[in-house]
Amino acid sequence: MDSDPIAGHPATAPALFEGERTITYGELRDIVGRTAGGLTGGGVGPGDRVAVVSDNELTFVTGVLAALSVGATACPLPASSPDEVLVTRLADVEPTAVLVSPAATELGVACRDHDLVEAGLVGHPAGSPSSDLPTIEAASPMPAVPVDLTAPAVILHTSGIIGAPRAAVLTHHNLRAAQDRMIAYGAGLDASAVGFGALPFNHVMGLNVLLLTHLRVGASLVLQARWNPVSALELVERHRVTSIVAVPPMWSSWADVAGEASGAMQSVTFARTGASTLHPDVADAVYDSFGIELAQGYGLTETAGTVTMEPAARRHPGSVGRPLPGVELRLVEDGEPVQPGDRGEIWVRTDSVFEGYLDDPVATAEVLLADGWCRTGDVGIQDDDGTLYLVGRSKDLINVSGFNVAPVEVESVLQQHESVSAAVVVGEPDPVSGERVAAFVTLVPGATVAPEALIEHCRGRLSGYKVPSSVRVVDRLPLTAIGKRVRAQLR
Amino acid sequence: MVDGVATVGALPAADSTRRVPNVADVILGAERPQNRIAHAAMQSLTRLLSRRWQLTINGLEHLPASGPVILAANHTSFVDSPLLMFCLPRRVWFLGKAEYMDSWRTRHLFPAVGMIPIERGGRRGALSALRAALGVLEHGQAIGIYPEGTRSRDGKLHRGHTGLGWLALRSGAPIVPVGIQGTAEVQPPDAALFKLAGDCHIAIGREIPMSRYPGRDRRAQRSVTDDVMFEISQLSGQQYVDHYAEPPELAEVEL
Repeated sequence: MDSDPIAGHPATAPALFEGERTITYGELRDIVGRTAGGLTGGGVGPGDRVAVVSDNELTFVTGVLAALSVGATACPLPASSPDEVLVTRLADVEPTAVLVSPAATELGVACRDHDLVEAGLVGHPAGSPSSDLPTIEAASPMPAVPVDLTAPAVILHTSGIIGAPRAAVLTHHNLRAAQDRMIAYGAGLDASAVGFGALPFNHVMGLNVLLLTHLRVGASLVLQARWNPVSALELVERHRVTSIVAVPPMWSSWADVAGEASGAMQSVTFARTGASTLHPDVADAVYDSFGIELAQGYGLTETAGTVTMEPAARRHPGSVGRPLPGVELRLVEDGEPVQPGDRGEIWVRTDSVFEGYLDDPVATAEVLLADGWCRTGDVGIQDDDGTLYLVGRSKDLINVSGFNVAPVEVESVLQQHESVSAAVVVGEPDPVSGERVAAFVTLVPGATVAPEALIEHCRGRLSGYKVPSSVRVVDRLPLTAIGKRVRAQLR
Repeated sequence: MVDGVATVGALPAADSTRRVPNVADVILGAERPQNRIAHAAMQSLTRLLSRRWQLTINGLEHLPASGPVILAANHTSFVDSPLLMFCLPRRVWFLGKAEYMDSWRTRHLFPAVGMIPIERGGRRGALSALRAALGVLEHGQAIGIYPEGTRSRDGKLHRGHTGLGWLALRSGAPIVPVGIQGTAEVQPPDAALFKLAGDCHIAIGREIPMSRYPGRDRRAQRSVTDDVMFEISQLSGQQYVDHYAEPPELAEVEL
């Protein structure tokens, strides 16, 4: 089995749209092949790791595909991360080569000059403008090498919401199994599809659900390196995008800029969200603006992508749907399946479950169980027909006098207040009740509201134990690049 | 029956030919003179005993005088049911085991005083229990439910079964939380007899606002049930632990 995910697509078929430029599959294969030749010439081979530092640009795609092509493991990293984060992640991964986008040239120079990279191979993929760094390419393209599907293909850092981010190792088989599920889902993912690529490619949803699945079926993808909802809408209209994979903050800002009954997304036949909670208002707003029914999926880095999907999030608020074919799912408490209707930790078993965390057998053993089950660390509740609702990360749940409080539920209520823009809720130690609920909110521009009024607002809508003991107004809430709340920073 | 020989004193084995009166029969039957007398007698007896137990009640203003209502209470003693059935201003119905219908002593008395017989055991048992409870509410009556499903042996308040949530969301009837204190000292869970002294208290709380719960799915049922358990814990003063009191007898409900 060769490692080339874009083999077989017609050479003249468009693969990527970047700005005014169209890159065909033929051109893409050529750039990838020449970069692969450059990597091989530099001593990179099967089993090595190639870090790719780039935002959603051509260099990301060519860098990752070239790494896979030589049988190496691709380690994607966003160019827009703070340097300290990038350096730590590079140190985790110990790459043999680092491919950087033009925007990350400085970092690349720093890597080379400080010997962060063993082989000293740091540069741009073929086709990049010249800079202080070399372009890593051979004169002629090298074909992809055969690869064992069980070999590592990609290393992705998890969001690290409950602790330090961990480097999850995904094999070729993991990636393809998850891609197969998306293709089989019936989202119209085939060669005629046009996808929209603003969702960061260094996260599993952007990488596997979006980028690699679209390339696998020979679809084309519009790239947007820096998220901007207004220009994004123009791109969607101009290229007649048919499929959009995005996260709630993106959908929310799209609905804000578009207003009611916009025709910008007329061409879209498949639109989905995931990665963080979709507020029902956002689903409604997207419908009002674009006439689109959002599908909401649930998946993890550790499952290489989506494991459950709810086709109509607007009509089933809070639902992430039923397990996709090929996915086994159960809710577990104290090692036993829960009673119907009870909360439990979500366990998943499917062939896209990852190999383990890099160099961390202890963390791996906590998550991957002997019989193939993967503990997600997410708590959910299931309806009688198997529909799954997420309650929250297990470690985020707040225990008030023995009662469990899901932060998302309280955040949702706070966000219903007209003055509140966003809320994050965490547990604080309490000598009497064990923990108490503490809320942090940002306000709508120009609004003022007393914390006591917000507490009263909650009291009218939530059971006593869920009502925050304190509400603090802050200027900014800690969120990750895809909008996940970093509660740890507030505790 | 063993080897064709009836054992004296034992209840006959449960069989589907046992005639278990349905909810309507029991409720309407309670109006018959002999049953009203039985009820009045049990009521007098219990109220006499309640004085020895120094029973006090507060929150009666939260109990609707008429119409369907679910009283959700903590459960630590056999004595809880008589107190709720006979010491409140209105009749409160409870569900009881169908085996009571087999003994001549209880066959007429229990339905007369407010106990609806239910075939226990497995899914059908759980289903019949909830359907019967629904029936009671549809007749505009008050029904007593112990969400813990069994008497708490460690005195703590345990996770509630979602049947309570199912019942409330399905019937639209209000839930009134009730905290009972002191009954475990009068008759502990494993004791056969009750004492003639005690210090009991029933605290009735405000009706749970049901508008908070959109939908009637499992999530809503669990949410309602948890919130009721919180209110009960405030009224009973018990510490709450988020696990069932014992492996539940009530199995899944088919909706």
